Amino acid sequence: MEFIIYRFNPETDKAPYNQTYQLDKTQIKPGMMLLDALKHLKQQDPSLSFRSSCQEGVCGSDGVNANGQNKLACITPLSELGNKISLRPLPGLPVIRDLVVDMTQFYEHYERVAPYLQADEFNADVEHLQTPMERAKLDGHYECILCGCCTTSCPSFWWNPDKFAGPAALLAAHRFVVDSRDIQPKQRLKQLDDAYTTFRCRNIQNCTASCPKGLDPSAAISDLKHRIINDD
Amino acid sequence: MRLTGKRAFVWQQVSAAYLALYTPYLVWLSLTQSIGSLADLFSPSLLVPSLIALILLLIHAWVGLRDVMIDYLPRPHLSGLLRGLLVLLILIGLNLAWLLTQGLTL
Repeated sequence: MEFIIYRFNPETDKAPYNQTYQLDKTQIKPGMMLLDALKHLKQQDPSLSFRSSCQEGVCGSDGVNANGQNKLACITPLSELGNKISLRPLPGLPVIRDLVVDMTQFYEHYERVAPYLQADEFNADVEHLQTPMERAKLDGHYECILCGCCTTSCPSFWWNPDKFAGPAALLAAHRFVVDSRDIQPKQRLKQLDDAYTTFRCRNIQNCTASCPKGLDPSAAISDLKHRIINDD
Repeated sequence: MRLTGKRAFVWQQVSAAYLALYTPYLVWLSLTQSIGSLADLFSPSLLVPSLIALILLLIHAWVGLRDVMIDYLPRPHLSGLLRGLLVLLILIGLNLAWLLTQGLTL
């Protein structure tokens, strides 16, 4: 199996380049994930850099661009990718080294949408109760693991990375706008209403196509737009 | 130049909806009645819907071109170029209005 991997070490390389690696068939086991292959390749070449942590699709740290699509390496079976695999860092973010990108901007957008519950003053005697229907509105939102696959597959983010919040941050914003316990939905919608933060989304839907958790940020952004429009 | 989010989006949707109704209506009229020139669009019976369509077409063009320019043009020059586009569309609107008054007075 052939791997063509984007390599760049800013300390030694003037420009990025592709390096080809071979993985012997005897090393490939049934059900093997892309991350396992990367670990084998790292044994061949210890200078190859990539992120990983939980290795089971929960922490979201090993997002890569495999054969042109953003994926989580730890839950992507090698069998899905064919015999020739092209690996690149997540697009649209600065490369720190090889497949490792600088996620600072991504997290800044996330921080900007205030991704925490703004509820009434804390009272230990009273719980913030929700009906099952109100709780069900959070499904498809809270499961986001912030891997960045959606945001970095979005052309609107590539065009305006500093101003467009991106699908992950907007999905989080939507999660708190629809939360019945949050007391600031109007304020949240006001903060999202300008030409860039939300309305740069052109419904391209790369975000939904690339989400490794099967979430639908595109639908959440459309709903946010309609809520902003209907907000007084 | 302050660029709006909600307002631009609403105008784009409203203008698109109106033009999506007006254009087939126009095609139907041209097939069933004698509409041979641009001046016929501004005959007394069609004056109001055509004027609304003209204004909404200019608004739709502004929002659409504005969005394309925001996405593709270099940020340092964007504000000036957007002002230029706005002036151009206003001039086109004024020119069409002038042509219209000439046609109506003939």
